[in-house]
Amino acid sequence: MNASAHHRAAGVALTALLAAASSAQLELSPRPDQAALSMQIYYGHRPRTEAEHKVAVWGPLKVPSPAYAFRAARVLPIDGPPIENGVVLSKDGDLVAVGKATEVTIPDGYEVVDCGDAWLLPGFIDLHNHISSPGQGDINDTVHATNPEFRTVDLITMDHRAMRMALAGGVTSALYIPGSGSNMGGFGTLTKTAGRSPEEALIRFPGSLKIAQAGNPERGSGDLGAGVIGMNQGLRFTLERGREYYEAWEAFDQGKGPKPEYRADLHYLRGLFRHEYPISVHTQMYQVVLETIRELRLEFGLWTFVDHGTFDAYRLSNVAKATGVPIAAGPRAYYFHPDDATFVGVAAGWYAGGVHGWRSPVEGVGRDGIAINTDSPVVPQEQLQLQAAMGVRLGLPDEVAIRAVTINPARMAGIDHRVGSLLAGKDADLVAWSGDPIDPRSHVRMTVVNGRIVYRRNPDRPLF
Amino acid sequence: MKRTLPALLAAALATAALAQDAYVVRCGRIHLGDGRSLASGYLLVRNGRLEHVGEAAPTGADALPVVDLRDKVVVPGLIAADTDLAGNADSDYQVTPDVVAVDAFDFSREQQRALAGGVTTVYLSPGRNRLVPGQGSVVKTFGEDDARVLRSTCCLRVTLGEPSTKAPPLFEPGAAPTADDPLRPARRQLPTARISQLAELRRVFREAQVAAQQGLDDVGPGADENQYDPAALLRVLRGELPVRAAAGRGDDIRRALQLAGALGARLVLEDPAEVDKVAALVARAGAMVSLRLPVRPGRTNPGGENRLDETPRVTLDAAVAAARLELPLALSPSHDDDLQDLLLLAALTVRAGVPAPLALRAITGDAAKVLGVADRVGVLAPGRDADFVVLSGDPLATGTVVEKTYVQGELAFARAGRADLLAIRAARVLTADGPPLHDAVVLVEHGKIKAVGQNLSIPFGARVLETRGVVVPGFVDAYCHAGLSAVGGDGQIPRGAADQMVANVVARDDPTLRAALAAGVTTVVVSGKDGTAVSGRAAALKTGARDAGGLVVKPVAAQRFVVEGVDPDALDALDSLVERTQRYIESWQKYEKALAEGKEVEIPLEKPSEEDPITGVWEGDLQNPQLPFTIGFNLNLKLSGEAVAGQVAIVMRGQERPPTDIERGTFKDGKLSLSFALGMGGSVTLEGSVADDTLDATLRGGFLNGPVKAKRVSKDVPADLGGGGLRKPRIDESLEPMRALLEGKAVAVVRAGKAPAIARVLEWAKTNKVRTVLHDAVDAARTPAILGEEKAGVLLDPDFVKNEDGVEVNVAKQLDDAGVQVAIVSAATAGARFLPVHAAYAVHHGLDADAALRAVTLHPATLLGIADRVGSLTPGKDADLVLFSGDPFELQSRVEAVVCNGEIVVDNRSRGPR
Repeated sequence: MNASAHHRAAGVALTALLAAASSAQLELSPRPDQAALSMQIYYGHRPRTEAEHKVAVWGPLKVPSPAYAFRAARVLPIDGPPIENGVVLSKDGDLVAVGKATEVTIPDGYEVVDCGDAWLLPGFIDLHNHISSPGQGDINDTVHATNPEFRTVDLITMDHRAMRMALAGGVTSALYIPGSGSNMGGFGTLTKTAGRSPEEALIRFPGSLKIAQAGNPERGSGDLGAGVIGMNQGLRFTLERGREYYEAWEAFDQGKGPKPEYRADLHYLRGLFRHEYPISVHTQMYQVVLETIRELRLEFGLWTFVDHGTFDAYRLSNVAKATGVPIAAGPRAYYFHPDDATFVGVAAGWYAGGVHGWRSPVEGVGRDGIAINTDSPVVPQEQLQLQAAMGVRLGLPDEVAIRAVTINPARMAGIDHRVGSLLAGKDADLVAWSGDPIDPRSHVRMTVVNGRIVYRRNPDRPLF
Repeated sequence: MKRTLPALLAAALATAALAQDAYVVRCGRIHLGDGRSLASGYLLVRNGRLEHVGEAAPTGADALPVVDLRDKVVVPGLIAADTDLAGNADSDYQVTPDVVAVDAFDFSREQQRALAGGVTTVYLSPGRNRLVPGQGSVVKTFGEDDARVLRSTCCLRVTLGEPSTKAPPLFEPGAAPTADDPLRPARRQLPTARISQLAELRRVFREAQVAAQQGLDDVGPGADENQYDPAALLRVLRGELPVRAAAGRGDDIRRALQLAGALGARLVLEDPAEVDKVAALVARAGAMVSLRLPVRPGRTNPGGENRLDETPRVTLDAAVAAARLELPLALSPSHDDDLQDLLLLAALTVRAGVPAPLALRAITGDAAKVLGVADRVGVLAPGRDADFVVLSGDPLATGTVVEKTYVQGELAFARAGRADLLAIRAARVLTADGPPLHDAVVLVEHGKIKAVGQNLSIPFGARVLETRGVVVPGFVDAYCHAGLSAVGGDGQIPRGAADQMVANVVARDDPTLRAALAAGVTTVVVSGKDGTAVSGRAAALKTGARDAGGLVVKPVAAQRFVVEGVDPDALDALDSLVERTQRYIESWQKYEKALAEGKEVEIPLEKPSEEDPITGVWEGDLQNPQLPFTIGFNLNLKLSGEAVAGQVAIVMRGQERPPTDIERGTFKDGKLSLSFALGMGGSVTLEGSVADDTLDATLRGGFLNGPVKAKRVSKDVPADLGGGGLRKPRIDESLEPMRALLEGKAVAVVRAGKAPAIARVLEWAKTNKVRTVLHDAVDAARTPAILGEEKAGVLLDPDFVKNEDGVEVNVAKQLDDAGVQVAIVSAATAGARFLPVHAAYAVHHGLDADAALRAVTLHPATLLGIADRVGSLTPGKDADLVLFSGDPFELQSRVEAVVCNGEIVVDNRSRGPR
């Protein structure tokens, strides 16, 4: 299928979808059952295993760490029901067992870490941030509108104070993306927030391709790409170059063409078309979110999620659901509607489907597909908990809020086989909270990354 | 910016020989620049290069001229591995790899400030605020233009981090805009943020490679003026040119390492402020480091004024972290500091924790490695350039100054020193009036001790004298005859007498004074031999005076007496002297009182008879055409019968000399005959006839022979001859010492050994209120109580260790133990040089070494009343001191140098091993 064929197909699909959404959506919304609730995220045909990734680089597994047995009054594994009086075993970077204290035997050689009345949860995941960028200038090169050769992976320093802030807030995985100063800012990096080196902390590079729409990347130069229309065209142009490069390599791999010349600027775009990693789109208003879904997801068929989804874009949640585009909302937790002065919780809006969306979630389960982000250092990662709590206060169900900072972002970024829940075999990233993590009064007592205790709250000195 | 001239300049390197002549430099400590040092040694310089560096003298050195710097410290010419001496002009363009820093270097400008700091080699930075500003160069700070260039290109600089994100947009209009070729908006340049720097650098190098494959000369974006020659980029890719990457933040440094790794290039990190954060990576990559650090206080304070400031600054901690890498590290002062403070900067990093040898290497040998010029400079070794710096002391000591800087064998800088300031630094300083000082400094100014202390800074420009031994005050010999060997005739020492003008007769260059000086005896109290009850007048003199003014400490320091035996009349002679002196003093007091009260007439005028042809005041002169000037004669005469009394004063060049008494005078039959002594020629006679108040006479007997004509100008009896007016008493030299004693201005030294004599002498002293010191009061050793409550001090002749009935008695020790101030004297002439040996002998026989030191320094000075000038190392006193190779009373110790009146008058440091 060539580019124009993609385009046509996407156009048709979106028109039909919008027609369905705009007519009496409340009645048409089916009463969701359990299966329908778990949102189908569109991954394209992504490789089934890490080993099959050709462009993306995955961080190390089984990072050496001591053998610990964490005991806590309450363990929330996320993937299963809460466990009272639980035990979590970890060794060499991995979770070994999660279960009731009465059922899990602590093997010899495991050091018992008694967390007392704490709640033990998986480490939080934040999909929109600029962690480890002391200056905003580091991540915004705005000479060109699209910069597919840029990458954040070279900018990481583990001792940056935003990293320490993250650990104090229970955030253990971060998607560190370029700034939104240009339309296509470059490739972000999925990294742990602790590690003896950036290499050890790496989860996956690229974590995503960062695209920013409207607002921030609008430029004063007046040339092509200065406004929304030009930017959309610029994205399309660059992505088409990337697809041609990808197709040339596919042809070569299948023995149907010559070996293409290596192109640093197009190299990572190739992985995008192999669906090895998603596009994360900083897009926050109805119109451009629609454009994201139309162009990136439907026209190019790329694995896409919305980042920084604020303002009134929640009105498109039905379209997002239908196209498999999940949402990370934040850091603004609410939206004042200028027409009727209504006050809408953004996360709740996305969750509930907004004016065009569905309104009948199943209690106690919640919907996948919504995450909450901080935009650190704009909002410190230590406040991801508060962003989630704000979401709850403005209508997001409690258990959804917890999933929105754990398993949901893990699924959106395609790293849920490593992080996002407490499951034996996953990375030992866990956090001991003083109580319910979505309660603003609760705080982090201890943070574990890759099986190593990397943060303990100092009672004399809050945070760190 | 087309191709520049680096190749032409590089060609000049080979002809760098400057000084054609060969010479030897004899040095004190030599720091070689590679961390090693020699305690002392030699350099042989030939044709601007070092031919020999070692502890031993080079063979054939005898025939060559020697520069003697043996009390100096020598280090290699210092290297500042980062400067803005080529200006720091960034172009508008981000990528200009063909720019070469040396092209902007002004060879005509003197680099005196750098040379004054010992900096002989500098790195010239190209611009600092562009992604690829160009190539750095290395030049000497002295020499003939092109010969100064060590490397026209030593690296390709790239800039990571903030500085290279702010290049201006490029506006490149065509010559004449048309519809087909319109004006284009200004073109913005990558990078504007860190995120794009590595990508852009990779692109630049890749583009150079492609251009090379395609045979293109020039590459680059934009219009013609942004085209550049990629040769330097290709040299980096071939491993011929190192990359010098400015990278401050930890992640900047990571990217620099990543770039160098990808290019396969050697890497120098410039100002990696956060090198500690990536130390392991840097160490693994073997990257070298250049750091610019602030030196002067009051400027940017390293450490960060604003803790929220995200821009890392290069701090001293960065130097410490870089030093731990154990990779070549170079230090240089930051852009607003002086190159001449480079040594200070190195010391500052030691304060922060950099090991001292490494700090020194970071401005010499290692700096040369960082710049890729180690084959020429940085280390003192045969074959290298003869660039070396002469320092006043330890290279990292605060007070050390650069005295001379040599570049390629030529003296490029010499500090105008402060000749009046001398600093003596020693491992131990014994002041004689306080506890021993360790690693202390004695500071001398204008011949006086200015300060003594352990924590003294050496003032800028001071001459520095160093010893690893001990410094003590110059010794004081309270009784000797040094300087008098030529006075008594036949080499005999004259018997002492009160009227001996000792201070006048001792010659400065007397060999016995020189012998004493060489042994460290700087002050001698000189008198004739003791004999009669009233013995010699004693004058305190310096043995190392460079001029007559410095010779005399006190012309009448003491009067010596001998009172021996138990004879009750033993003190009669003294009493008689006291009586006469008291009358003498009274006449002076009377005169001075009258003078003070303005009395002009003390005695009624005596009218001479009209017939008296002689009495009165005469004025005349010597008519000798052989003399170049006339000598006048003023005669005061009084006729009594046929006898003529009076005085004669000669007038030379208008100045009247002190008058001398007429010894014998007669007037008979119109003939006048006068005999008197002329100071310089013994007795002379003036004989002639007098008529009508006119004298026509002839002078005979001295060297002033010839006719004298004189006229009587007054017929009044002169005041001094019992005439009218105020009469000044005559100076009686035989009474002057006792007068000084009675007036408390000098000391009586009385030789009295037996207890009864001692007791009587002290009683006499008390009665007459005469400050008295006993000489050889041996009996006092047994019963110190006889020295009285005030414990009179005692001078001891060298045989102070007595054998009494088979029992050894060290008189010096016993008196010292009793709290008596004891001074050991030489009682010798040439033998005054053994004074320190006598003291050592006393120590060998049990005297405490500190007491022994005081016995030949502070005690004799105090007892003889000259402690305000000599005797201890105390601020304000004369700078007389001795540098010993070890403890002063170890007989194996040698005198290394003697300072007298602030001048180094003995310097033995060239002798034997140091």
